Amino acid sequence: MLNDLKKQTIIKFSYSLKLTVACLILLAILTTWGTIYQADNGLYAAKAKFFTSWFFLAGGFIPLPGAALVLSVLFLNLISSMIFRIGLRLKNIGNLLTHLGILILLIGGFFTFLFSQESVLMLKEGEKSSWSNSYHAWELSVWKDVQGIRHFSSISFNDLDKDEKINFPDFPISIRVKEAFRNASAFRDRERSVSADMLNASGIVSIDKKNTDPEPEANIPGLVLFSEDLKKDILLYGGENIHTSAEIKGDIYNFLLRKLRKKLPLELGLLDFRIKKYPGSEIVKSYESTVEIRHDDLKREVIISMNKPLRYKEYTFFQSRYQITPAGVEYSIFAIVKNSGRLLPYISSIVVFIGMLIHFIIMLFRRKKEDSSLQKGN
Amino acid sequence: MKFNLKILIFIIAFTLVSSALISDSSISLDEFKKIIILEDGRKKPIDTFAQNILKQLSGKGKLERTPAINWLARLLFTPDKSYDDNVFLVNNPEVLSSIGSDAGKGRGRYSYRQLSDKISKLRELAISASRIENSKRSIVESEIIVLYNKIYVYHKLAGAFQFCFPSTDFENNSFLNYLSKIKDIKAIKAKEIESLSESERKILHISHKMDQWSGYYQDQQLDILPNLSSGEEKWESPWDSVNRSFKFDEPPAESVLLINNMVSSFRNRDQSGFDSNVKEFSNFVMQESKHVADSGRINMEIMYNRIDPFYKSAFFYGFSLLFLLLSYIKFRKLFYYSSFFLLILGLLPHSYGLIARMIIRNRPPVTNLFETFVFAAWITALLGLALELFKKKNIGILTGSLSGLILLIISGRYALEGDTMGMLVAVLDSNFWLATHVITITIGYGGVVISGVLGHLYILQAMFKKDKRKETLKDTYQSIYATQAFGLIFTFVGTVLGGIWADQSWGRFWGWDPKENGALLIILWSAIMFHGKLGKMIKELGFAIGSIIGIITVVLAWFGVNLLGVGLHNYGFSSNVASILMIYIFIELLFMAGSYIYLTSKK
Repeated sequence: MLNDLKKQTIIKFSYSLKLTVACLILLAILTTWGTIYQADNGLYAAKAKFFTSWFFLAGGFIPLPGAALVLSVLFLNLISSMIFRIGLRLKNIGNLLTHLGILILLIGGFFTFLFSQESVLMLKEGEKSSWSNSYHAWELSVWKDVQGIRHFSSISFNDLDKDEKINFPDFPISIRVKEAFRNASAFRDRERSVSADMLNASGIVSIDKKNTDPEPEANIPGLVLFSEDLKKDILLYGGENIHTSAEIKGDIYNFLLRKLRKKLPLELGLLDFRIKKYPGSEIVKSYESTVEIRHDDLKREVIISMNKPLRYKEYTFFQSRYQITPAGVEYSIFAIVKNSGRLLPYISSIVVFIGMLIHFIIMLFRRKKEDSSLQKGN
Repeated sequence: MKFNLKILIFIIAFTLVSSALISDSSISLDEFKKIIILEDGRKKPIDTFAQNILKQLSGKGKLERTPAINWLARLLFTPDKSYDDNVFLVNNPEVLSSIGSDAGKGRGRYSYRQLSDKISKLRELAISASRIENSKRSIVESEIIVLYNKIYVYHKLAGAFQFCFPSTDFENNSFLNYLSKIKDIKAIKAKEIESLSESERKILHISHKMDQWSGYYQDQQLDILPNLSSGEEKWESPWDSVNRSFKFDEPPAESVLLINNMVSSFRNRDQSGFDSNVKEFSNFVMQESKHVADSGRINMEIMYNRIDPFYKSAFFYGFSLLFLLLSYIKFRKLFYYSSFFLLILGLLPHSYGLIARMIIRNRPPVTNLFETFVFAAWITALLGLALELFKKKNIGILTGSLSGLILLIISGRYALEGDTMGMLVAVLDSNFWLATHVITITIGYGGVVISGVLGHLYILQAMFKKDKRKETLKDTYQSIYATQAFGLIFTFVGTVLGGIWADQSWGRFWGWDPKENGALLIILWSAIMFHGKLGKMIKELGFAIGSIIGIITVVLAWFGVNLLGVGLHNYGFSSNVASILMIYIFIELLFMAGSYIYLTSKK
């Protein structure tokens, strides 16, 4: 049955070496192009255009396959080749393992692409938190305090559309989005005080749209909301660090546009941050943080340093950067990655390595056999 | 006649080999070389410091074939005698004309004396150039800043021991003479000015001069005095110590007095006194530093500097190549065995150099760009030797010595950027990953390079070798195939290990970063070659051409970061590298296209 299947044109095409080579060449071109593109447009834009896309338009009108598509085709080609071309024979075990390893690598890449989440946490010495922030996604956060208990409602900035009403299930307020700019400038006018029909805590009187930056972290959003209850505009800007409050129907509501927060499976507290430099130089030798982590009523101290992250379930906490304010306050910045497929590359590399080793040894023996049979023939 | 020619060649070879092994040592600074200095976070012999500074000023590690330490000693102890040393490299002659100097018209090395009367003009131009944004500066403006910085460094070093020299400011005594009498000076300063005698007034005047000097000689760079008093390790320059004593009205520290002895014995040309004074100073430093500095490593580094192992290896590889080529013309056996012997001889200092560096730094062999070339050169020479031992068809020697030589020459360019044993930033500070990821990937690069060199050889053999053509070509092709496979395996494993390292330190296995993409490109290209050959899309000639493109991918991965203008090393150098690379790639493409058309049309 396998043999019958093998002869069908479509199947034949699926395991053809020509398809393999075509995919590899396309991938090589995309890699080179995407690398050069990075120099001018930044990593994020290059990734979005060449590497995580299915298609992209070259020069604005020629559709070309992106790396996601090419890798998917290569993935199918690989499976088909393993079944129909290489075959499950013992003498091909090395070859088979090598390709199986690459298959796992592609699966791992796909997993990471779909499910991995990256966020960041910045802590001052003595501070603790069980929330991390997104690198570049924003949210509108609204809250009110009732008898000492804080009630929250958060909406992702991406879900806010112009002229649409925001639905707050727990709050009996009516808010409409007047403007939502992905990248904006905010202006404080010294001449003018904030007018009576406008609310903002940091004295902002207008928000203008700006062109979006290819590096998403450079974009700071602006939001103009309209309270139907108060008949007033609420101006919010991503660069603000204080919230704007408004009294609506007898309750004080607080509004803040901030980086999207993610709940962590544990609470992290920074006890101490240390930085070591080589004597007589500004070259940083190492930096590390002593943190206290608390989860399920368990408390322990851990040191997180460069090249030595903290692993917890599918989360990994890395010592990423640090910041020291002119006043000498030390902040430690942790990168947090949630990736359930993170072990796949490790498995894959071991499989490929064993595969290549076996393949090479078998080749060597086969060569020797051929040589000796040739000599016998002579 | 024939016999005489043989002897003559042997003598020439012997002289060349021995001249490479003997280094210049006209002035004995053997003890002085060992003085420990802290530069850029690393404790090193002043011998290495001298080379680094000279490289920075003149773009060379030696001054007119004499070791850098001779020049530095002259500059430190007798600055006026170094004014005629041509140490200031000026790349752009417009720099000279813009400061109104008529010292020369071309790129070249100029002496302090030639530039000294134009320094104020240079300073003025450098200050205005430094106000311009980095990316908007013209080449000449950048060069002006560079030259001014060189003069600045030179001034600092020339003044490093100035407190020991007699000066008219101190009535032909030295600053130090008066610092020794600081208690008396303090007493005089405390008196009412009207009550001072004539000689006391003079001393007061001198103390004002001392104030001026102390203000002028701040922030010196010669950190040779350890100071562990604060609990953490700090090193300071002699002036730091002198200024502190002066500030707190204390007599000079013992270390400074020892330096004074050293200086005066050098100036009096008293060799034995100089040696014993230097030794006394070194012993004192060792005690003061509580042995944070390891004298064994310092001595090893001096030895390493003296042997200059990679220079010698390049020399031997060069002659190995030359003799191999000569063997095609005459005395086949003699030249062949000489070239084989020279390849092995080249590997000796090469291996020594790598091992010595590992011990000195307590690091794996590859931690920076310079070392990747040195290590890849070693791998290619070793692979060449292995190939020769298996095949005995000259191709091993040819590829090994040629790629070893070229890679060492490239490494030499990078060595000029400064200390090749710099300290590692936090993210690289992991001997485990440096030893696994970096080594494997560099071995992979080496394999692909050797394969590409063999690819050239294959094409040349196909074009020029008429007799036994098929057999030879088959042999060469097999070598290309095997080395390419070797390169692919190591590059793949190295890249995956790099991914794992990235996952450990940044939290992502793959990030499409230029360096990662470069490695991926090599892997993809190798995979294309193997699958293309397997699917009969290319033949042996195609595979050989593919292996040459393989070198291009390696070159792009190696220099890619510089070419894109990302990273820390893209000042002036990268545009130069970029144009050389473009020319290289262009020539290769021409070679490949030409030979392909020629060989296929012949069939």
